[in-house]
Amino acid sequence: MKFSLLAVLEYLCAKLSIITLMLMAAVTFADVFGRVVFNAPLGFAYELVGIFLAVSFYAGLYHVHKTSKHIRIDLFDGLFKGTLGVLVFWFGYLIEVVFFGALVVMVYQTLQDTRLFGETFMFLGFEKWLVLLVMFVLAVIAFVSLIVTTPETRSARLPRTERQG
Amino acid sequence: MVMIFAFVVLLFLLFLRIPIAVATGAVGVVGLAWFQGWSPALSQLGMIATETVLSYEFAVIPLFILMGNIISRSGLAEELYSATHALVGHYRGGLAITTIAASGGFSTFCGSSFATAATMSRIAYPSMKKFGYSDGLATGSIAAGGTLGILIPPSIALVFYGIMTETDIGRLFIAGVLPGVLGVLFYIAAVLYVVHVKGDSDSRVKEATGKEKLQAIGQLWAFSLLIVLVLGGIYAGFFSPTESAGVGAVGAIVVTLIRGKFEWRNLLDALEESAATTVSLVAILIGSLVFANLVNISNMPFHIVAWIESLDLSLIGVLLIMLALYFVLGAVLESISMLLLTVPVFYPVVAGMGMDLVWFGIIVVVATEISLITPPVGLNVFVLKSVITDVDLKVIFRGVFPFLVADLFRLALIVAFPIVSLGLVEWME
Repeated sequence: MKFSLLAVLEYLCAKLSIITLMLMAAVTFADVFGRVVFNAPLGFAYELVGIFLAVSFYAGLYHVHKTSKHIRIDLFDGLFKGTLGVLVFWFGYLIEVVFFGALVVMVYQTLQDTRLFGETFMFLGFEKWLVLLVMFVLAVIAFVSLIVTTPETRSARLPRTERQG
Repeated sequence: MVMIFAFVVLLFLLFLRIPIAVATGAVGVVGLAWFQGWSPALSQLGMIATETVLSYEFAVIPLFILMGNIISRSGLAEELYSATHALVGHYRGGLAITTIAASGGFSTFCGSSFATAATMSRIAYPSMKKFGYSDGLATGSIAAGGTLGILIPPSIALVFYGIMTETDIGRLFIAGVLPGVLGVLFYIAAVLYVVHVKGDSDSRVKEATGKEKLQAIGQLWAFSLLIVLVLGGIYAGFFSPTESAGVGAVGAIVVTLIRGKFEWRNLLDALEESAATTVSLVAILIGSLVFANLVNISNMPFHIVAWIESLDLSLIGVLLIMLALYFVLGAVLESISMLLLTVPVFYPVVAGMGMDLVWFGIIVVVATEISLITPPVGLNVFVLKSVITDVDLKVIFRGVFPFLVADLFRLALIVAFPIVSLGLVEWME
């Protein structure tokens, strides 16, 4: 079987996204259970759950980009056929690329600012930019997924009856 | 003028199938750049894209979604339907009433109108067809019943509203209870009107024996316990909404295990679906928070307040104008985007007029709920059509009409009497 780096990245991101989601639930539950039953809440639960949410979001972005699962309004889909359909899809795709490209750059900028500022998590104790670095790396990987999933690729993955244009 | 242009461009981009998250975010950044320059505008995108996802409070969204997805795969919908069926199925229109009540119960866990409508269309429609119910009543009751999910707590729409307006989500959940129950009762009244006054769907089902009724209700004990824990925890002040969602997600796995319905495959599916939904919703949240910043920077709410003051309108007058706008927007926009586009503009206006934001939140969500079954978009109707392909859209919309009227009555009641939304909140406090 042919090795594909993208397939590996997709697999890892998907697993990371669901594992952190599960951990989010587990840590929240453990915190509540500890507080209510033993009067011993996990002090770091708030920060840890936030980190898991961030990792789950940026890791899951790969799959959502690739499968084009972003929520959109398809009211006028019927109008976008033929050349107009192709133009509309490419226009939308370019805006997506520019927006998520800007997002990646700005996450990096925020990471740099946070590192210079030396911000740390109050309970977990480590520096915040490390988490932002993970978010940035995942955002870059997700962006790669968006770049390689052009409207043509999306269309080719659909059954013939569902293809646009 | 700039903001009118921004809204026009936003609607244009949305109709060109650009993801809601991207359209709101891009217009927000460009608009902010117009007012403040590119550097501050892009910085805000970076801040929101990192701080939003690192926030503990926002974890309430994926955790409630996860709870709903686990429960949805554990046979709750079928059991709720069979329990309600055993109790009321034998009355005239009983299966439609069963559908409404089961939808209300299911949405307590699910929180999604589309999931409720899609699930109920698979369970309830074949049963109603078997007993000769008209397509209009059968599909109308499912589409309308599905809308209950958007208001009945835990509601993702209320969570979004709470985040955008910085209103206590726990109070919003409490406030949603009575209007949600009213929604169920008004829908049942609509069913009774259709079967008794219009003579639709006359057939009856054999009444279940007392033992069968008890057995059907008995199946629901674990779910009932979980919902008492999840919502009761918030209402009693034991948990924050995020904590309650975490308890609900783990509790859903425990309940499924206890009932012997746990399967790893189902848990994995629930996690995968929840992760994808979370990404879509959080992306929208990021985009709409950028857009909300633009609305604030532009002073748009301030200008609207000044305009309203010049018209000398009362609060009810302002609300009626807003609701009229919701019905217009609801005809072309889906629920989340409508909520996220309008709330940042409207809430400072009504807050400035002294309105309670919890009350306003319920009104906004009910108006959004109504838009789910209003033509020509009516997303719940389209969800139904995608599952029940052999019924014409026109028939579904006709079937939905009595429920739409019931919804309008309920909305009027909520607007006219704030106690409907706030009574329970005040009583519990």
